[in-house]
Amino acid sequence: MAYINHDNIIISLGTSTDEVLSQIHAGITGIKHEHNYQYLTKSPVSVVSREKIEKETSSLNSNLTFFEKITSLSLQKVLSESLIDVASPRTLFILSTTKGNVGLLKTEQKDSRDVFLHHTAGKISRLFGFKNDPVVVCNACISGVLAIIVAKRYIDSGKYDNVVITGADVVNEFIVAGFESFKSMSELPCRPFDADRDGLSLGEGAGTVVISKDPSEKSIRVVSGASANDANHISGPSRTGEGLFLAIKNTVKDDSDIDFISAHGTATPYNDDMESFAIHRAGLDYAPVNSFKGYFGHTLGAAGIIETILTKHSMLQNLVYKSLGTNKPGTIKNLQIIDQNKKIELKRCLKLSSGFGGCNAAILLEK
Amino acid sequence: MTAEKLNIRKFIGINKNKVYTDERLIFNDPDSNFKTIGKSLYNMLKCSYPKYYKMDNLSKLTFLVTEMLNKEVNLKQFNPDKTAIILSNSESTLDTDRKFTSTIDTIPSPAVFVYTLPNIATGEISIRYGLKGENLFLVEESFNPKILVEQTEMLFADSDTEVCITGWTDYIDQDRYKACLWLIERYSGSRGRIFNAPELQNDFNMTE
Repeated sequence: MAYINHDNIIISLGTSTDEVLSQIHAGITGIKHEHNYQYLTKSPVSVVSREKIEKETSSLNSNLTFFEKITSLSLQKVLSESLIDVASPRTLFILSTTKGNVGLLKTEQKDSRDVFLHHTAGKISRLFGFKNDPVVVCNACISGVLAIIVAKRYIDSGKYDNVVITGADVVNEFIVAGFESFKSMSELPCRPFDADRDGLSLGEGAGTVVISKDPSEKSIRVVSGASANDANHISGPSRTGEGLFLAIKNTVKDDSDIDFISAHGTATPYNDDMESFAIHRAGLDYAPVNSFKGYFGHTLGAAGIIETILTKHSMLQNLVYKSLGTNKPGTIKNLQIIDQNKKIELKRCLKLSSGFGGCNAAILLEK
Repeated sequence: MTAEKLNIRKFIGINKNKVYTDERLIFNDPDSNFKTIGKSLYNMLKCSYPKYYKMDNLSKLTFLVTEMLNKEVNLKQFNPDKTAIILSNSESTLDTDRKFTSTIDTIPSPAVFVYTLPNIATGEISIRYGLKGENLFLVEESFNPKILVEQTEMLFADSDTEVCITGWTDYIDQDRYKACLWLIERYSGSRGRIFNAPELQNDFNMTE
């Protein structure tokens, strides 16, 4: 059995899971128009306060990039709470990211080793004293959920007792220029599953979880997980939700009810329609659904980790959060979008994710 | 969850101007520039796939090595929903990242940006053969057969995967690129070799 134990989230809304949860509870979004920022975009983004991170990381190695700082800070916060032995041969560190330090390519440090994802992972791993070589999962926007599936498999196979995963990505010129070239960014804070949704909001952040063979007082079990490919298009999802449907089908293997679905919900017209289609095909259209992206945007390689942590805390509190930005639900298939924070008994919940390259992944969590 | 006994059904490796399958050298060109080699292989394989011309170098390399694998073992014979792809490399997509970075201040192209994720290569071969099974892309300091074996074994043990294309596909620049793919299936008697890290390392070294 694999359990999600300690966790931390660093995003625009805060640098601890509790801080983030209280903002989400209050219905606050961290997606804002940033004027004094390093790039020009008409679109609002969710960014982490540089000042706050500088202050909180003053005790860490100063030769870290901003990406490495939020990754390290998130990891430090989790490791200080959790009692796991990082130096043990039975502990593994996984970094989940899409682009790591890619921003360095446009600076004088373009030839630095830091542009290699494995180099960054090694640097962070050594900083904290992990003995095993780190694993880097780099599989577009499903990286975080996929890293949890990998961790669950490692625990189930008996290879490790604890797997620490940090998912992180930062908003920089590279990412903004890319998503703008695709015309996939909204000029308003994103509106997942809304009839008028017109694109995503980019977000940055880091999230860390410890996945262990033993439960703690407040843990949630990772029951199963699967990935699948649409085999349809490299930059657009399958209209019929083929890959996501398969991922759900291979994750949910019995008929027991699903109490809540934390969707990918990027707020692009295609993604949200595709998800509604896949959820229907899987016969789960009765389940309450939200997207957390209205609160802090699409955090790419961190999204699957951060949103799984929020799902875990929803489960522990028996509380589902409203899908911020969904004012008038409007997807090709109807979904039970959560329109206000609500107390409901949560036993079995599903986390979904999809990404470029036609990839999809799902995990089933149980309390 | 116990590890499944797995077999290597086929190995294909491209290292610059040489292509190997299991223990044979099947292609050797005096020129090792990827532009030339890519064209020669594409023509030799008699591909007719216009999407190839839109791909970045990593996807082209991954596409060509998969075409060769398909020539040896018809991939269409497998259940596409149960055919998985586990790939790894060291560079991720740095070649294309650099290209995209150079366009940020002028006209950034979505056609370049989309290739700045290594699993786009996975997507390209999934589209080509309709493969809808599990996917995983890992970035490693150097070729790491231990982790590829671990991931593949755990995948077979935890899913209904029937075959898996496991490998390394790394594009540094036009003179330095390498791709090695193994087609892995459940142990089925004497057919094929045992799937383990030393076998993968041997194959990988053979292409050096």
